[in-house]
Amino acid sequence: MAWLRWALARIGSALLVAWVVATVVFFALRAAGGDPTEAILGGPGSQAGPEAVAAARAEYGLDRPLVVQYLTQLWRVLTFDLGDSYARRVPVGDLLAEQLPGTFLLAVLALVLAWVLALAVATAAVGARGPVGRACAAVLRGVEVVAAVVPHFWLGAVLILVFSTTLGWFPATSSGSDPAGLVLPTVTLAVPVAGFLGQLIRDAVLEAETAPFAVTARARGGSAVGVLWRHSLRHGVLPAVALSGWAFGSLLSGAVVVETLFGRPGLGRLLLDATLSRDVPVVIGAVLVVALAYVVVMLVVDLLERVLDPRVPEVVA
Amino acid sequence: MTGPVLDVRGLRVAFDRPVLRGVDLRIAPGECVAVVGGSGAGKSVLARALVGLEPSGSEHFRLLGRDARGFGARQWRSARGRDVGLVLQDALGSLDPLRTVGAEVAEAIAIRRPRDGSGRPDPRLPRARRDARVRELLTRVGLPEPELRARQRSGQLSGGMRQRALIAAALAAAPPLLIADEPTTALDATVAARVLGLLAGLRDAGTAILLISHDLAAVSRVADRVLVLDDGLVVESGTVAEVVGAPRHEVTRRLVAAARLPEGPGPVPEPGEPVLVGRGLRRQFPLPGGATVTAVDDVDVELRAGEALGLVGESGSGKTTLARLLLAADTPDAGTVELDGGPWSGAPESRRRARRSAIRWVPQDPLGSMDPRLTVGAVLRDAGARDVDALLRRVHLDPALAARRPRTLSGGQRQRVAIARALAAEPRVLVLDEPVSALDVQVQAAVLDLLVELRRETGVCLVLVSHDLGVIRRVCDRVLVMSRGRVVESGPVAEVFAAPREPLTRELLAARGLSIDGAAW
Repeated sequence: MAWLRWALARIGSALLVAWVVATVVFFALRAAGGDPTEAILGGPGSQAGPEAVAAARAEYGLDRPLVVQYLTQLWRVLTFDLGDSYARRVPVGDLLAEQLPGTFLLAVLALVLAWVLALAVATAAVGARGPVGRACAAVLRGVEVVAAVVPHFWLGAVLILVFSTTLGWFPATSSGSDPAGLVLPTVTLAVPVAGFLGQLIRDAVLEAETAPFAVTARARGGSAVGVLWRHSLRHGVLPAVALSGWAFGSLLSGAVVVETLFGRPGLGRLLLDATLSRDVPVVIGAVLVVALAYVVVMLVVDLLERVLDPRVPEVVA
Repeated sequence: MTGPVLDVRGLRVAFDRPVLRGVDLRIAPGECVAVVGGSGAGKSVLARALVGLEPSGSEHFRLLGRDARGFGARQWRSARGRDVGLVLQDALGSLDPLRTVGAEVAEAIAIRRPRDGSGRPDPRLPRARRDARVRELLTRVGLPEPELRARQRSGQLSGGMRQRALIAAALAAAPPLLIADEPTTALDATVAARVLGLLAGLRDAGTAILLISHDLAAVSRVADRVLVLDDGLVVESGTVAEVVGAPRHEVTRRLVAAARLPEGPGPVPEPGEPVLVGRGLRRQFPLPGGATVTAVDDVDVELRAGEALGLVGESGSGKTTLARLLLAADTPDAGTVELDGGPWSGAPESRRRARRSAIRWVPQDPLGSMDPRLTVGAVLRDAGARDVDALLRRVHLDPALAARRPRTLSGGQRQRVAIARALAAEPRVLVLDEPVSALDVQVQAAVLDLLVELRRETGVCLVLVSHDLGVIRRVCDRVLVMSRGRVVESGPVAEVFAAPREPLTRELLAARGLSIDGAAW
């Protein structure tokens, strides 16, 4: 029973998110000015004649009132018909299917790398012993802060300059799933998230290390590593797991910058181009896919939190 | 073993100032030694220093005959759990809330083989054998339904069960010495008595026990010898009968006085007309899975002007729920509460708000109820105080504390601020939930004196919730004894104490007394 209610609430909230996203995107694109007919007729500067413009507007229903256009679009989304791209004249679904895997691969790899880096830095900071160790931990703390605030485009440019132009280890541009080409974009995306997650994990682990249950485990004869592994780390990753869903969303938006920087095809590039040319169906389709991915990731995060923190809510006293 | 389990002379620990200034301690096998003292005496630091969790210096430190002064981190680690077990002060937080009780005990088994076994511990002990050993340990400490408890987490256990589970984990490797730091502080009196009984049983089975407590009454029931610690020094020591019967040091005398059942409040005004009246009160809470628990079951309460009413009972008996109903912080499922003859529980909150100043709440955890960013002065002004200085003096606090933040105050000071805040609006009734349970006995006595003085001088009515009959006796005229949501006994405090009718009341009373001849009530 509880599971069914929980699942229904989840699906309901996913639908709500999809509706809000579609609505906001539709009106925001219109409010931003510009005319979708331009996209239909070959982009800005295509110098189409008035008759061609009128014909295109009639064909795509753009001459009808905005509300009718909105409802039409909404109906299409509800029936899983994302429509055709204005600019490219191919079904939006095909475009998305083509670009989606590369972007998701990038985002997932970046999230995994961010977690590995964050855990390494946080546990190193917690395990630091002696003056040298503590000094190193302090430096790492500084690095974390810098990492958390560094912008993608700057980091990407520096990485290209060092590892591609100067050292020549990795290509500066990448296409498809060439593993060497994925390295620099993944690192660029992962570092800011790693800095952020690292700070969260370190603070929470340090707090758990001084909690009575950790002291008790040491009083039992537990080693520093054992206490960290069996007790404090589990408490320490909880806030970071909770925020990983959000981090995944920021990775997808970061992908727009990184894909442009490294000349990678992908959802980010598609979204950017479509927004600039007012290609409404593509923008709505892409944003919807991203939003749904976000909802799914939040669901996974929720389940993961349940596994890590199986406490039953205590009965009201 | 022939020699002492632990023999320490001149133990010193210093942080930014000396905390232990040369403590001597000797415990023989099968002996129970208690270290008592007020807060800040250095008791908990002593417990941690004895298992090497605090860096310490000493003239002599022998643990099981081995010189522990040269122990490095590795040697201390191998001694902890195997040679000496430690049960920490905070029973509520000392079990990892994310792991099952069974996993916590199993961890203790995996880290340490019992002393009789040889060689290295084996973390890959077959699961069935480890589970059986967990069950055996939980049974040994008297945990009911050990198989169920092993699968539960600390949040699902009561305070007493958690304390037993912790003792089970500390016993996993059968250490010859067990140190228990305030093992009964968070427990109500009857549960505390049972935990002390468990420790006494372990002692009789040959384990040396070092008990650390602020409560002389509690430890006097099991300890063979008592050491009184004050400001890092042992100021008095001897058998329980010697120390309790003829205390020589000032600190000891205060501890003994606090451990005896206190005098009543003395002459108080005649009770006037009814102020707060509850009739047929009932409150139920849903449990997961559709069942309900009846926290308060058909209770009548009447509080007259100038009176102090005590609500006493074990944890979970419905005391706090009843207090919340009287405050209209919660709505009864049946029955009504009237304040000054007008509807109270039945009135809408918009009507109640104007009259809320007539009845005020002093919560169990004063710190959690104060905004940490506000100064004490701001907290009091927020509550409607016009003259902060006068209010602080009223509760015997230095007006200079108005500029401090709650976190920087001691427990006793915080409780006084909480009382001052409740008094700010000049209420007719104060409802206090376990106002002294988190304080050490000496500070407790001072806060209770303040409550008696407030009664006498301002005529405020009190509803005092406590698990401790001694607290009730010091302050209240009438008492309601609660059990499972019902009032099982009620009447004037003097009568209930002189001739308790219910077994529960007798048990609560027995749990409170000093346990040597003549010193008990």
